[in-house]
Amino acid sequence: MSFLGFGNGQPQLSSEQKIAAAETELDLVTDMFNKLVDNCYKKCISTQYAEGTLSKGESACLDRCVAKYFETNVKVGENMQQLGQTFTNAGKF
Amino acid sequence: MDALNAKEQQDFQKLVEQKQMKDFMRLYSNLVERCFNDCVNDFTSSKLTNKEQTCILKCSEKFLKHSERVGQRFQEQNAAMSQGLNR
Amino acid sequence: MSEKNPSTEVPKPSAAASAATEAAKKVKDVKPPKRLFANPAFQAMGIPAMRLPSRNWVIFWMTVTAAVGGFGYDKYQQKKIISKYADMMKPMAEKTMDTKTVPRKITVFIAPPPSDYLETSLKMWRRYIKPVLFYAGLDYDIVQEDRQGVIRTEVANRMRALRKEYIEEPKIEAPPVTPTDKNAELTPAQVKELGKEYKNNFDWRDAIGIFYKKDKPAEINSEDLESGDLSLSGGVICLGRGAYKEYLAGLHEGLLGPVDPPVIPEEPKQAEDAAKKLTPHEEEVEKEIKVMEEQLEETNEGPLDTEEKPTEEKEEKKEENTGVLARFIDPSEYEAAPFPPLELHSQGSVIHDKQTKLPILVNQPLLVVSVPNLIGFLAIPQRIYRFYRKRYMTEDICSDVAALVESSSLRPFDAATDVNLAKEEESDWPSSWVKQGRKRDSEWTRDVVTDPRITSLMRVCNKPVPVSPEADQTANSE
Repeated sequence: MSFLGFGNGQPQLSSEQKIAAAETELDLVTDMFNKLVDNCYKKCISTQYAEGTLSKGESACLDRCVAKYFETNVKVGENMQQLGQTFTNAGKF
Repeated sequence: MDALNAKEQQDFQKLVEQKQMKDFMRLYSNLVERCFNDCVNDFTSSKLTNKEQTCILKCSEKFLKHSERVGQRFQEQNAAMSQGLNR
Repeated sequence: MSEKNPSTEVPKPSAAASAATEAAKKVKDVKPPKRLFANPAFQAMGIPAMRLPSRNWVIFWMTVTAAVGGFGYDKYQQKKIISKYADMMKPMAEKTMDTKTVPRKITVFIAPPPSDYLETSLKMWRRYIKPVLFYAGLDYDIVQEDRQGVIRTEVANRMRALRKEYIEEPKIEAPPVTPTDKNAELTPAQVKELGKEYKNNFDWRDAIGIFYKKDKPAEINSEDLESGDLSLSGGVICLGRGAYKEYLAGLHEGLLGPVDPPVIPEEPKQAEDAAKKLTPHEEEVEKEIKVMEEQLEETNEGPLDTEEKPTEEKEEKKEENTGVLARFIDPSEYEAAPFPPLELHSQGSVIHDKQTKLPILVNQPLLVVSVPNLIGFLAIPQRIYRFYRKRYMTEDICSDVAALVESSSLRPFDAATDVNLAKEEESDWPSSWVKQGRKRDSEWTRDVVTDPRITSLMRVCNKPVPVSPEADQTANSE
């Protein structure tokens, strides 16, 4: 996530501001991770709990789920850019 | 995050550790809620039945393994994406 | 003399007459009941006489019912077959897998049938092959092409990348810009570089709660490594005779050909072209050089440094456009070419990939699936025949893929006959397309040339090709 939009025209951000900005970025990514965990759990894993470990089918499903989630993220970012809103920063990582 | 210099990176790393601990707490409470929702459906007694106990055990193990696997793939995808963007 | 009262006489005969006329009218109005034709056979069985529509309608409805019914039955049987194989594979997907393990990966090369769209092949992949792989819990990596040469280029590039990894010495990386002094002394550009490096190497698992107490896995291995028998790992499916030919060509080119693209030996032409593109300054230099040459009376050894740049740009443009590279080596040169020195990284005849530690594509079991696709107006009766017999093709394909998944019938590549795997597909290829291909020397119409050093590394999952493939025209899976 690049804050070039902020930093370019202004004087150098102070240390705290930079760390705060990085923290926001970190929060955004971990929030995305949490949503990813929840959604992939819903989509891939049955709640019958036959056993305590993941089966091969579920594992393969999870791998594909994560890849598709990232792709979706990128596509939505691109669409937002096209639509011209100020979501450009959230789209890039 | 790419505008941090070395000292800021160290401070940031401490912040990351704090965040990790917070996320761990959040994961724990999320796990409790999930296992309760999925496993505990019989309210005829105030003690957990055997069936519910085994279900909760399996649920916790499964969710933690799931979280770990997704975390691995997440890191791989992020690395791949940052490499792709770097080109 | 008529002393009779006419009034008394008339009603008497009219009463009888009217009754008679009414009865006669009733008889006229009531038609006799139609006698339906009863088929004596049906009569004998006790089936009541039925009213059938006319002969033409009967023919029409019978034809429609046969056509639709045949199609419906075939579709139903196909579904049954696919679900049978899916159920066979499901127990494999129910086994547990560790979080550090990655499933077995099958590489699928998909080529379109000649003179037709890639979608035809993709339909076969999606309907018949993909379900079997999916329900078995395997991962698949698809390489598809819509023009000839893409698969060959991809396979050859992979082989060459592998060789480069092994042959090249590890590069001595420049020491990272470490701030020996305070940050203020670094240039802004260096700071930026540091920042970018930090961001790229940032491990997001440090921020994720699950890894707070749990250790991050050190290595991620394929399940093949943990199952024990490496020779059964991975798998290659070539969907289409064209894909198979290109796969073989790519393997040979990648392993026997040069690692770097060969230099095109067209220097005099390039020199002339480059001369036209010189800037004014270089033109003056050129003039001086020419004067010197005249003085020294030497032949054309023009020190034209610009000759490489325009051609490189041209080649790059071509690469970007098509994804197809020209062959690095001609098949006639296979025998003379040296086999790459990969002995250190192989166990016996199995060569290992550096990163995944699995056998490379050559050593993985191979399955070739033919894509029957007849085109043409005159072929319509045969196409209809095939359309109503798709269930047999489904059974063949699904059983072959199941055999690959279970690794039940692997055999070494037989150079004499296995070159003709899926050759019956070629009888479907339109002859005009083939003629045109031979004229243009396109890849699928060339003869398949193999080198024993490479085919000895391969193993095949298909059933053996019968000795006389021309005589054998049945739809056996090959």
